[in-house]
Amino acid sequence: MSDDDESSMLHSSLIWDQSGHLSDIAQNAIADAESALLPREACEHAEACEQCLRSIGQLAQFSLEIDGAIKQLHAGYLPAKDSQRVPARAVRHWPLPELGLALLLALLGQLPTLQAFNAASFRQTLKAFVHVSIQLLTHIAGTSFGAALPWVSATLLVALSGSIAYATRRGLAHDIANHLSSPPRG
Amino acid sequence: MAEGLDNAALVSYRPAVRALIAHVLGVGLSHADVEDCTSEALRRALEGYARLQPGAALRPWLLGIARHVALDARRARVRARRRDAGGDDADPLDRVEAHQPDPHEQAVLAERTLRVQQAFGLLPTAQRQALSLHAEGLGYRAIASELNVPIGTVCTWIARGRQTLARALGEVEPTAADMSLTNNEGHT
Repeated sequence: MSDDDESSMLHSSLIWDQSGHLSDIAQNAIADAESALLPREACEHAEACEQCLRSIGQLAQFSLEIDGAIKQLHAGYLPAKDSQRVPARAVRHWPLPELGLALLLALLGQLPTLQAFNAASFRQTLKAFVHVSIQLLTHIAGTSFGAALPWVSATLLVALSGSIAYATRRGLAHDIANHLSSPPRG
Repeated sequence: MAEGLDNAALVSYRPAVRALIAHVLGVGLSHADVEDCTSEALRRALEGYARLQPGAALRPWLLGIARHVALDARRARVRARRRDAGGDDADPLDRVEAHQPDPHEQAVLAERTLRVQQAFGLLPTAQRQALSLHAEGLGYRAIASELNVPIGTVCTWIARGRQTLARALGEVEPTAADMSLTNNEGHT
């Protein structure tokens, strides 16, 4: 691409086509109100030439449509601006390292009780716990709450799938945003 | 966008406004309605400029006014033609100013938008960046500065990107000029 550096205007080879009309580059420039980049003859031609002005009108209309579609796309996919971005730590829902540390401390606290550990008694307790749990669940299933359980589980499944879809979409959005903000090739 | 709406800006926008109005009206440049609508659109823009939100892009706003004025004029012409043809018993709803497209038009527009977005995703990165920055309201010089490329390159990227998008909508057949443009891509 060559530019006329002195006048900051487009080179004439980019402005005119072989038939003597404005090139599509020049027509786009006029449709975008960038006629300052064109010499006076090009602007005069645009004012007088029916064919070129018709193309410019189409381009102006089409560029409005494209700009709207691109803005819509960016509004849905691009990440927030730096000033609006929430720090990563603030959006982390589960403090996993802290929970892990707490569990480790609790385990260490229980270590002295291991010397009094009785395997037979532990098995008995576990068996009793399972037995009581089954009884409790059977009782719940017989109540009106139990009848609503399939609906509750279905709602939970729908909510879970919605969360997965949302998380996937956000991941895709970040991929697209990274792709768009990568530097131009060549 | 720090661009103001002074006389110089109006002069640079006038050809685009006039061309868009002639296109929407479907008439030649010499048609009286084109001049009337152009003057009306620029007058409305000057009057309403103070209400334009700070940072909002001037170009889509101004061209939007032009399109609006032209559509109103076109509807008025259609109504006048019906009246002249003795269509006083026409549907009263036709007399109501309709600024929103009907549901079918909306569906068609949504479909077109989707196709533009899909085709946009397939454009080369440079063209996509140039068109994105332009959609945000940046002028060609600002885009060239942002992407650190000559202004002619920006012009070419924008023109070529739009051509590809128009082709994706089936609005433009590839021409010999397109082919030579594509072949010369490496030299720009």
